[in-house]
Formats: sequence, C-alpha cells, structure tokens
Amino acid sequence: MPFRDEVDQTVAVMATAPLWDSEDRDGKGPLGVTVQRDQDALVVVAVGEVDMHTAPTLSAALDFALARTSPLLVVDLSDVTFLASAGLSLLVTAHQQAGEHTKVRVVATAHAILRPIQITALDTLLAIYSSRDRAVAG
Amino acid sequence: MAVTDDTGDPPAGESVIMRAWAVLAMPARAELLGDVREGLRQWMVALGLTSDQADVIILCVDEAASNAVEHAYADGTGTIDIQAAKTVSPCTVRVTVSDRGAWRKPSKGPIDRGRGLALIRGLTGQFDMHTGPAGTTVTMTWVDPAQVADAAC
Repeated sequence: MPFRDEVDQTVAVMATAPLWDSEDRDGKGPLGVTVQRDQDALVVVAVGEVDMHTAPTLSAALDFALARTSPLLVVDLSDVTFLASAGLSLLVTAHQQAGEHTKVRVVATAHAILRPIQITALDTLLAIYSSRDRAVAG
Repeated sequence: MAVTDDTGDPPAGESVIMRAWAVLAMPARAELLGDVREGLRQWMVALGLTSDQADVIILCVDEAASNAVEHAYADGTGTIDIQAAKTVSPCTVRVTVSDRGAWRKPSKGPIDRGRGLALIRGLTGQFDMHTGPAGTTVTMTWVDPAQVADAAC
C-alpha cells in the first residue's frame, strides 16, 4: 500500500523528534511529557511527578495520542517518581477512551508507582509492563 | 495527645510527641503540593524512615491535601494546615490535614476523589475524617512497626 509506505518513511525521518512535547506547551515544571512513535505504538513518556497540579499535562498528551488512532498506546511511567490519584484517573480514562481498536499498556517499575496502581486494583484493569520494549513488542 | 511535661514523665496512657513537622496556613493551591511532599520527605528521612515507608505516607498526605485543595473552598483562597508527629508509646507517625472550608460536593471533574480516599484507606493504619462547621480534618496514623521505622521508639 503506497500510502502506508510513504507514512512510514516520514516517521523514520522524524524518529528523533517527539510528535508532542510538553516543553512546547506550558514550559518547565515538575512533569515533562512527550509523545513518540515506536514501531506500531504511540508512546507517551512521562518524566517527573504526576500530581493534581501536573496531571493536566499528562492528560493533554494522552488526548493527543488517543486522537491519532493507533493499534497500541503505551504510557511509559518508568521515570515517574510520584503518582497520585489524579494520574490514576487519567490512566483509567485513557483505557476507557481507547476503544476496541487500540490497546493501552502501562510501563511501571518503581514501588512508588506500582503501589497506588495495585492498592486501587487498577492492575486488574490495566495491562502493566516492566519495560517499554516489552510493552511495545507485546 | 500530650507533650512531655516539666518532669519529663508522660501522662499515663497518652502518646508523647518526640518530633513534629508542620506547614500552617498554606494557601490551598495545587502547585504547592510538591513542596509539601519534599519537606515531609526530608523530615521522615531524618527520623530514620526508609524511602519506601516515606513514599506511603507522602502519597496519603498528598491525597488528603489534594482533597482539601479541590473541595474545601468555594472561592479558592483558603488555607490548609498539615501537621505531622512522631510519637512513642505507642510508636506512630501521625499526620493531620485540616482545612476551614465548607465541604463542597465533589464535582464531576476529571479527577475521581473516591480513588484518592481508597488510597488513603488502603495505606493507612488508622484513618479518620471529620467534617464540621469549622472545616474538615483528616487524621492518618501509621502504627504498625513494619510501617514505621523503629528509630527512636
């Protein structure tokens, strides 16, 4: 399919630049978020603290990623050091909004991030992965 | 609750505060929560709590404070008091989060506060929330020795 090939080449050229970057929006803060393409997946990479104050930044990135229908949406929380219920709600919303054609996977490794996910039983709702590579490869 | 009296003997049956930390009259604004977490962490590390133990308490305090920020004040100009105490006999860490606002019914916003309360309930040894005309006070106590460092107990 020529159209598909053309898209893939464009993505390859743009591979080092994120599709979306919170630095381009509201600048600096305790949370930075980018959206990147990785093979067939869109990967939302969050770095820093997700609390009531910073959650809107992650929300905007998730909205951006969900608006671009992709078979796989990976939310990479490997470099998140704090995750409050405001962030948990965003993960649930993303899972609900993704629809049946988009799988949502969450990458979380640190105790501080897995703990709130497990205490609220979201590990039974969300697919949790131990690395970005595993989540993208599935 | 009592502080040590002049003789140094605690009143029978009451806990004694050995160390305390507080943020008083903090503006109820979400962008200040990060500083609260950092200050509380430094205090708990100085007490000898592990990073993991501090994480649990910080998460619960953040949720209680977020609750106050989101719901306590209709005009958005109120303040919050956060007071933490390390006690002996029994060995606990206790944190209260107080506001002086009238409770507002949670809005149908993107943030589900019910999940925040579930976190507090699931991670706190004792949890009490009292709402009255003067405001809301959340009291959280960690008494399990496994949850509180044995330093200074």
